[in-house]
Amino acid sequence: MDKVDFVKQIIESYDGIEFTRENDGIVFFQYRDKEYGCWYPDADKDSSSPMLVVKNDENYDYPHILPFNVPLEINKSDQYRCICLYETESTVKYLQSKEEKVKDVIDRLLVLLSLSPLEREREFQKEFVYYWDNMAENNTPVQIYAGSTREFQRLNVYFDGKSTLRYVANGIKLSDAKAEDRGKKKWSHKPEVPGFYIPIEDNRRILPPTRDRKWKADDILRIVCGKDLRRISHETYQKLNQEKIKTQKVSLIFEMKVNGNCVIFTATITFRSAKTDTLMNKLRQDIMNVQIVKSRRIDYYFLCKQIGNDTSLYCKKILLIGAGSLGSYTARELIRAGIRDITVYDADDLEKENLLRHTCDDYCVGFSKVVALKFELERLHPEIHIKAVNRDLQAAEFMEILPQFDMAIITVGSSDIQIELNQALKQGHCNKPVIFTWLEAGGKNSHILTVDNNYEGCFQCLFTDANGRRINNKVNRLSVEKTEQNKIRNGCGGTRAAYGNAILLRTVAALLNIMQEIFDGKIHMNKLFDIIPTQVIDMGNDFRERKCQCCSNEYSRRLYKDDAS
Amino acid sequence: MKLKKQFAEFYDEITIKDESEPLREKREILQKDIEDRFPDELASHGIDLKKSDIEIFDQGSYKYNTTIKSNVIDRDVAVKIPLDINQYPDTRKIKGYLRDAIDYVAARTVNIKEPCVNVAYFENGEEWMHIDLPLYAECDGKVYLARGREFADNYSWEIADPKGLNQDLCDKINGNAQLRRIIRYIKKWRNEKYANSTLDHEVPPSIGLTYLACDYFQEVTTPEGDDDLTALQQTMSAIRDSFILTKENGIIVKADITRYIPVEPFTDIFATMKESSDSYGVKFYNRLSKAVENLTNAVNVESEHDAGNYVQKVFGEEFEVPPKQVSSAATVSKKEQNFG
Repeated sequence: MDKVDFVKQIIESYDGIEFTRENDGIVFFQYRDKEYGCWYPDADKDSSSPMLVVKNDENYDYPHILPFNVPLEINKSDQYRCICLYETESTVKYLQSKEEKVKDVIDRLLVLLSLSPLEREREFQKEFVYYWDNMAENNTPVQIYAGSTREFQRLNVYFDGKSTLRYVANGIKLSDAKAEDRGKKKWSHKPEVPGFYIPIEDNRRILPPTRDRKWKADDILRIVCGKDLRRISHETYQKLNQEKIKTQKVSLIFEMKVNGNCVIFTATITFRSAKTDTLMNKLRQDIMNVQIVKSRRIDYYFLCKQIGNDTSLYCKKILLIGAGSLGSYTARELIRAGIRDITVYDADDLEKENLLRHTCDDYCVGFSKVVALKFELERLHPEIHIKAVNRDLQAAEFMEILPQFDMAIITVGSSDIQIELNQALKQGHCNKPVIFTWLEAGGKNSHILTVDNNYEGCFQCLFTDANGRRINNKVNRLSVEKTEQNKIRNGCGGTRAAYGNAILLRTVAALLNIMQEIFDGKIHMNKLFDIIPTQVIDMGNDFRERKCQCCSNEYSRRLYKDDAS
Repeated sequence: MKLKKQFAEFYDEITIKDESEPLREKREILQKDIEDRFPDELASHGIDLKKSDIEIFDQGSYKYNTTIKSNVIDRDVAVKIPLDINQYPDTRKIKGYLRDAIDYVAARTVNIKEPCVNVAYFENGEEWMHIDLPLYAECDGKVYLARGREFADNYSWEIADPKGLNQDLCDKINGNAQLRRIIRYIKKWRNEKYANSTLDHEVPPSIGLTYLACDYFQEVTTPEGDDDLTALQQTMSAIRDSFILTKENGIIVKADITRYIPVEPFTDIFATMKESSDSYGVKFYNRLSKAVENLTNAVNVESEHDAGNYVQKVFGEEFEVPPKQVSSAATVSKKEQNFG
């Protein structure tokens, strides 16, 4: 049976639906007072599915019927609009038969056309931004940096002199704020159109604009002072009554929650006059025009929430010691996991030989690794702040600055530096959590050790045997011979261990989880984790040595005694 | 458990959590007017009242958080003054003085009603809100409500305990989220079924429904959470069973329900309804029985869609009926679960 007959047969099996015609592969049918068309582009392809259009529908105020026309029948004045019935990738089309697909699309159409007013409102709200943007005149979306605080505030406004406007919440510092473009400051303050962030608490009866229903003053007033429902909090209402406006325009950046998602939409209001009054009074009495503005919320907190990051990391400050391969991978993923404030220490420069296992690009070769890292990471998002310190961190300074951070992560490969920092940590009685992590040559094994002065065990325990004698790192799995084989010498005593890059990815993945568990208070002892290619093994705190010269009680007591005398 | 999502969404839809700002503003202005102008008005009639002696407090659903959305916002605010009711026995006059004190702005329309002074607000010729001001007199340590219409022959100071009533209901409702929801559902059912009623005392009063819901509340929870459908069905069913029926030739000619206020004056909340017409009680009973029948069907049918249709008959269109599930298992298994 050909594609058209097949679709026609299914359509005709529905009560109330009448086949009308076939035209260019599209099967048309009448339902209630309108004609619809069903088109099945590639009926034999598993992943394709039928599409629906509606003919000459003048009602734009209905959800999921797209607001623009598609030219289906050339040389005819009929207008067709597509009906969007599926969320992207909501179903696995491969699992549906051709018949099921056609039936599904018709069933969905019937459900759509029988929505109650409340259901229509819900569908409109789900696609609110689509409709909003569709009615907007600006091409470049206004950038909104709202931050983690959901309360009314006047936002700072910046303009790049070309097309981009930024509305930035108080407390958000953007690393590119002082950036220059051809010798001139890129972002300038723009006070002519102040912006206000207005969180909406109750979404009921807030519908997006459509071609039939444009937004006017009443729509704004319904939100800020609607009689039927309180849509904004009393605090927001009071602030609208306190905020004084001296301009003829303001931008209102509304935010509401729809099915747990944050929907942000911006309207620029033009008042009849620039007479100074409270924002609420001006909204109530003086609105001349409501302009729909396309905007995007792009603050770091919001973006983190969008990808499911734990936003409790948002305000954490990390001290990263080492910007080599492991340090660079760690920094990059910390940033992507939701930490935007990192101070990184390293004295080395980036060399060509580092490139394939470093996150920085070729153009950074020759620069210090920390500066290169700062440049690379801050480029990702302007709320990211990397403090780059181009030298090794000494033990004394480590103890001095550690209290400013929520955690230190030590990614240097040198055992001597690790031991030195570990000793300083123990002697300084600093209770900040510290993670030591290092790779073994050969690209197979790596390790993570969590050290917190509240618990027993330290990095030096790894270099101590049961009798308290010093030994080489006992948890490393690779033999000395194998390590030697994987060492690359580059003259003048410099060496580089060969370990590839897969080890970096899995070590950092484990590190992120462990860091999160520490911040969540789920790790209640100092722990060693061994990471092998297919497994992260929790070794517990068996690494701890009672005769460790650094952390054992006996040793500590003697040390304090010496200090006291 | 059936219709959990639909009940949750319906509840969100019908609930008023806080007063809207225009309502709050109007109420605050009105309260200030009462404080500023009522003493002067009384003074002009030889009654001494200090501004500081006026006590204004919330009454009704806003107090115990059971307000539901309605076409006209309805707010109860009690006004209590110290007054020798023996010296001023005519409640109509005192209510008139309160009316005169506040009836000076075009935005308000003030009328004296039997239990209160009613302040209505209109916009474009339509009432959008009214604030009822029950007026209380405190005399010899007791509180009395001013009853009687402006020109009625029957008027009196009726002993009352508005704060005791508030407290009693708050004690019953606060901390019991499902009961609060059931009260709102029942009030919504009442509004839906009595939407076109124009007869005085025909509509079961909110306070009566609230007490009946508290008295006959059946809590129903499952491992999946609160089952509001079953709780509502059981509660309304128990309320229905508490009617005393009188039948003639098998036909119900009288259906009485009684609920005494637990504080002074300990009167029956439904007394006025009963005194007005026997048919009001019968109508109340029949409508309640129909709701119970629909809810029972909703509980018993297997399909969520069919259950939703039954519940929609109780609450109207605002209750959403879930779509028909033709082959739910197959549909679920075809949902995309992989993400790149």
